[in-house]
Amino acid sequence: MNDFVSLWSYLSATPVLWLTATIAAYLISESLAARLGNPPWANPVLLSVLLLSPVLSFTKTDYGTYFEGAHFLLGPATVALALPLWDNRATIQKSVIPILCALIAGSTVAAGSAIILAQFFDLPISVLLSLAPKSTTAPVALGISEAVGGIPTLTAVLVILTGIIGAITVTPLMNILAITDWQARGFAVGVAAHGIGTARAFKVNPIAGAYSGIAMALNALLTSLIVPILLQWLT
Amino acid sequence: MAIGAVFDCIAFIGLPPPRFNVTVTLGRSADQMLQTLGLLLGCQLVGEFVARGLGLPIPGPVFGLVILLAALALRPPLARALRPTTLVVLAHLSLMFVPAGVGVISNLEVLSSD
Repeated sequence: MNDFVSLWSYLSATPVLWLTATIAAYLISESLAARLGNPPWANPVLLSVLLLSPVLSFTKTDYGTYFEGAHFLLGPATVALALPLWDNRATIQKSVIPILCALIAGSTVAAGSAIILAQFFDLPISVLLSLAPKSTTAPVALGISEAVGGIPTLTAVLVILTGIIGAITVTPLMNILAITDWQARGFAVGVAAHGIGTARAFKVNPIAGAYSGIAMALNALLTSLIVPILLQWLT
Repeated sequence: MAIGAVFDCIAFIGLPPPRFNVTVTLGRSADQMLQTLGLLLGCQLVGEFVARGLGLPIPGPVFGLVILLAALALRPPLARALRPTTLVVLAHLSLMFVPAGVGVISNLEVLSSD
């Protein structure tokens, strides 16, 4: 019994345990979602979180320990976004004006509305700074939050909520607005709801997915430039 | 499963699935995998170094993205070597959100008290 306790206390502190648990939970969730026919509510990220959270609370593992183990792929995944940008350079060049307009509008509104609403509701400055990058992909948002003085763990929470809300609402919202162009639908969800929205877009339509990926990568670049500027103007 | 992921990824950039000899490709892509991961991490490291060094409020990995983009522009054949591994990483991008998502549950009390 004592052996088991010491073995557990050793294992629970090593990155390999939580990295493996995260990947396992994700694989289980993905196959479960596929079996259900990928409805919007059966989001693999949401299911993985629902699988992992009881494990963490049952084993009394604090979030910091878990995150240390599980998060190290975030940086390389951000760098990897360079490839879809490069592969799609012809598409981007062909419609550079509409893409830039949609990107600047989407990116500014996403960060600006969060900052203005946070001020309106008199939220603490640390919460405001953590809210600003919420529409960018997780690794970039955490980086921006840290760089401008926000709380990265709070940003992580807000990024996920943004992504899940975006992924669930995009299909009905686009239908109500009668937007049928897959390029526009994909780009919109990529700017507003980053990787979770992109994952959803790929499940719906490959063109929407590709445009969502482009939007997410460009938005990551632009948001890291405009958040510091917007913060200076608006606060 | 890895092969399936590569096909998923090819759909990512909108190309038709290629016809090739699977064993040959496996051997080559295993070599390229290590080089690709090294390059991705290297770009991140240089990006981190430049961003911190110049005191820019831009995250290191975002700067790394720009560096990799510049490398691709200077040396276009690089894209072909990078593609298999990079697309596997990107096809499972939502995996990267799981640790942050677990934070949602773990931070619910902090969030509701704010």
